[in-house]
Amino acid sequence: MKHQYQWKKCSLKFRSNLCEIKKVDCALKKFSKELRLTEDEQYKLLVAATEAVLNAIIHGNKSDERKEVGVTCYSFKRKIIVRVRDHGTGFDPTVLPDPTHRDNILKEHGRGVYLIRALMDEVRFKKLKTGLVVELVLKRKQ
Amino acid sequence: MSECKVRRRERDGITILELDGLLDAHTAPKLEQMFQTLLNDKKFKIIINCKGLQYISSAGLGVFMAYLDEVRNNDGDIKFSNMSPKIFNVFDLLGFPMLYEIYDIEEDALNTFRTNKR
Repeated sequence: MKHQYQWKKCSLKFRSNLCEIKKVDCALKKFSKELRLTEDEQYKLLVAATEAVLNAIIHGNKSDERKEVGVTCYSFKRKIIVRVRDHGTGFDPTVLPDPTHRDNILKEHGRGVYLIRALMDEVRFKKLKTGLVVELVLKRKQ
Repeated sequence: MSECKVRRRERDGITILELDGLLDAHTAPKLEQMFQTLLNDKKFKIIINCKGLQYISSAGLGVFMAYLDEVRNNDGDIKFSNMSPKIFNVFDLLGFPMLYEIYDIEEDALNTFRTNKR
C-alpha cells in the first residue's frame, strides 16, 4: 500500500564559491527527474533554488570558502521543499525594495529574492544562531 | 554543466550575440567580458539572440543592466530576440520588457535597428 506521505530527500554541501553552483544545478535536475516534475516545475525550482544559493554564497557567507552552504530538498506528495542554509547573519526580507519599481529597476540588488518569491508558492526566512535558512515551497499541481 | 557559450557575429554593422547554455553568476563574467570588448570596439547596436539560452539568473540579467546606459548614451541599444517562454517569464517578472525591446525573431530586431534612430 502506498503511503500518503511518502517522501524523498536529497542533500548536498559545498564551499562558498560560485563554481559550486553547477553542483546544485546537477543535483536539482537529477532530483526533478526522479520525481517526474513537469518542465515548468523543474524550471521554477531551479531558478529559485539557484538564486537562494547565490545569495547564501555572496551575501550570507561573503564568499568565504571556509564556510559551507547546505541545500536539502524534500519531496512530499503535494509539495517540494528546498532549504538553503548559510552561516551569515541574515537580513530583514521585509525591507527589500521592489526591483520592478521605476526607481529601482536599474539597481543591482533585490532581484534574486523577488524572483524566488514570484516563482515559489511559499518562502520563509529563518534566522538561526548558526546562520540563515531560506525555505522554498513549490506546490505540485497533480 | 554550468556553461554559457557566447558567439559574436555582425550583420549590417549590428552586432549579434548568440547565447547558448546557462547564464548565471558563474558564467556571467564571460558575457561581461564580451560586452567590454564590444564597447572597446565602439559597437553599440547589439542584439542578444536567446535561442540557445536555457536558463538565466538575476546575475545574468545584471550584465545587460550594467551596460545599458553606456550603450544608449552612444546612440545604441541592447535588443533581444528568440526568447523561449520560460526565459521571457523571468524577464517579465522583473519588469524588463518595460526597459528592453524584445522580438520574436532576430530579423525583426535587425529591422528596427536598420529603420530606427537607435
